[in-house]
Amino acid sequence: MEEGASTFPPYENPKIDEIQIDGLTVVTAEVANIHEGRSPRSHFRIIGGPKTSVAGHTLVYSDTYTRTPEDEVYSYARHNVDQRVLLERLEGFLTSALVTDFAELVHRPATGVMQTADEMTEFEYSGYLEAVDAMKSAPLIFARMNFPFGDMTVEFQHPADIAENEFRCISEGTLQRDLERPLFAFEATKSDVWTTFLASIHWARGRVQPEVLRQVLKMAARVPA
Amino acid sequence: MKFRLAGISLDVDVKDGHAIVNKVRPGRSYGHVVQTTKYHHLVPTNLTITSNLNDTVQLQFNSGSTWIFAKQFQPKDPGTQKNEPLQCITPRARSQDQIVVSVQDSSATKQPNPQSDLLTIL
Repeated sequence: MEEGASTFPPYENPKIDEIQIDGLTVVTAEVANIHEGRSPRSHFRIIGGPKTSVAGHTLVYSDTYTRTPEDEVYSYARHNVDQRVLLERLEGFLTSALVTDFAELVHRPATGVMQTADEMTEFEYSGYLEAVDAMKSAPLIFARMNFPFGDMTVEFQHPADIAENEFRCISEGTLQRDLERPLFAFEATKSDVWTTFLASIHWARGRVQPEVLRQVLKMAARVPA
Repeated sequence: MKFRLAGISLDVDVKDGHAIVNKVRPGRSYGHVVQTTKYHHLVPTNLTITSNLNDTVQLQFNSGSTWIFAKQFQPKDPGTQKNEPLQCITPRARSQDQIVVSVQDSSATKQPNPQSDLLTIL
């Protein structure tokens, strides 16, 4: 649907498959070649399979945009931690990452966006940990941090939005628009490094084995070869 | 009117040129303008912005009493502006008129509250 149209109906005719990921039954749903915005997009989601502890609810979503010079991939899933816990875990993740895999980030300024209910502010801090520290100072509804390996965004809201059981729409040949929220999202075009962090805040982390959950998240990230 | 959704802010105003106005004069045309910030989120959002007048006795969009603007915002989208002409009709029929604006996000369960602008008719 192009700009100016008045409504956005459910996705139609998704391609549905049931597969196993390390023993967990999941249902994959894919809608290709969606023309709704600036770039054509393919949408993909992995849903907990029937008779599992996560049945009918999306474990992870991803979108692939056809863009120049390369396709861009974004992956996202609902988290269930509050702002304080998320930022503490992010601080721990970044501290570890800065020491091990991404030492080049230590002396790099951190840019991003913080949004409260009243205002949205673009920021630049001397380092990533300083930026995380600043995010603790106000109740946020949204934040973004930019990273060379892939930017991340996070929403904060309580209570969560829990979408209708996906299987009802799928049985009617559609895929619902409603997303489970609040979402943690990241750009997966170059790297799936954020899947490790996402697994630590993911809503299903207590219901699915950690390594299986990471495999599910990595499958959706689908970093181009 | 300001609407704030995750990763984007929208301003919806009546403008005379670049100036926001809350007083309008019969016989003149104004702009009903939607302006957004850059889209900072990494999740696509389909927004439908609906502007409603009670009737077309005093104020009127080109499209009548209702104007609808729908757009998908994708990662890295720049800010956008959309302008719908708003006519203040002659003769002056009332002292005030109201525009009610609602924003609907097709991927969200909860929607922002509608907001309204009260315009004085000079």
